[in-house]
Amino acid sequence: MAQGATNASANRKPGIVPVLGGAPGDWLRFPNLVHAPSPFDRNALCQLKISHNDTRKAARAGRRQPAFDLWSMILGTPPPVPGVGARNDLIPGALISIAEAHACFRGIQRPLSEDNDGRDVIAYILRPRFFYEYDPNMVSVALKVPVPRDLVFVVYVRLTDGDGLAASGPIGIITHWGFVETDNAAPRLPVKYGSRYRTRLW
Amino acid sequence: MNIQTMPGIDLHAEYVQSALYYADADTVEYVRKDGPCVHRRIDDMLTLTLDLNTRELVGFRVKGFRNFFINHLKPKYKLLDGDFIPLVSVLEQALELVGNTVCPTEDSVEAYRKARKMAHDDRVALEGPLAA
Repeated sequence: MAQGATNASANRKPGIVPVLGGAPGDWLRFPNLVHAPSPFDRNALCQLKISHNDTRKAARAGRRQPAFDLWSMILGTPPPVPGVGARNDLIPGALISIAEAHACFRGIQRPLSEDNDGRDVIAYILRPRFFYEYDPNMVSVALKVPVPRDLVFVVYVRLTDGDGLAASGPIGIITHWGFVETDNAAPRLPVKYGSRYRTRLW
Repeated sequence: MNIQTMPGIDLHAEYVQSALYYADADTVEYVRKDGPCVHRRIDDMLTLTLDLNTRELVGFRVKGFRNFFINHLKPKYKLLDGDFIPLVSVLEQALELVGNTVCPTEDSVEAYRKARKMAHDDRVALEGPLAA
């Protein structure tokens, strides 16, 4: 499912990411914005900006997986690379996007730039069943694979509107993301979530 | 930078192992290979990076790096902008700093030891840490 992303320059229905054709460099042309449930009200949608800098820096060093994670688990669409459909269209399994996060925490208990204890950082928790990994072969470099069931995917957002009071516009910036192991007692949440984050929002 | 001419756009180019500072995440990361990973938090400074399938150690992250670099590493090693800093030194300082606030557990000391060994074996250094 390809929900959640927006691009102000595109004339298309909000919330839908098109599957791009896989022209050179398309896989690094991320949308600027994505829709997600608001940290302050799960039933309302908010806009988040997507930081491109770190993902492109990784790509410059030849590391593509962070970009593939962004496409397939935050935007909920296959990475737009050549041959992605030919290699994967027959593999069953839907993708999910950040719009389908099932839990949300605030405060990451560590400094992030000028934020001394990461209290203005939000962690969205997703439990995707499939994602795309970098796995080059003759057809494509992207392969859809299942996510091990002992993992959740966490998307970190630095709030720019700490109270969510702004009437419009993005309330934060997606800065990084990654898989973490699940908690034994709560298998839909990250391990040690009680000490890992400051507050559970929903 | 124009994406069409950006280094790294070639999807078949070889991944070159290197430590990178990610400014938005405020994290230094080193990984041995380009593939899906799991991140295992050790404390507020160190995260180990494991292969998604085998859970073998493939790298590590030093988090909250900006503040750590400015207040601890730069003065101690008298670094100038653009200098290389070995990640072995970064990890030793990180463990010392963590040890000043909490008593590190046996598991966390072992995690630092593993990360340090990887940094040493792979001779990992970070160039001009806070450069974009």
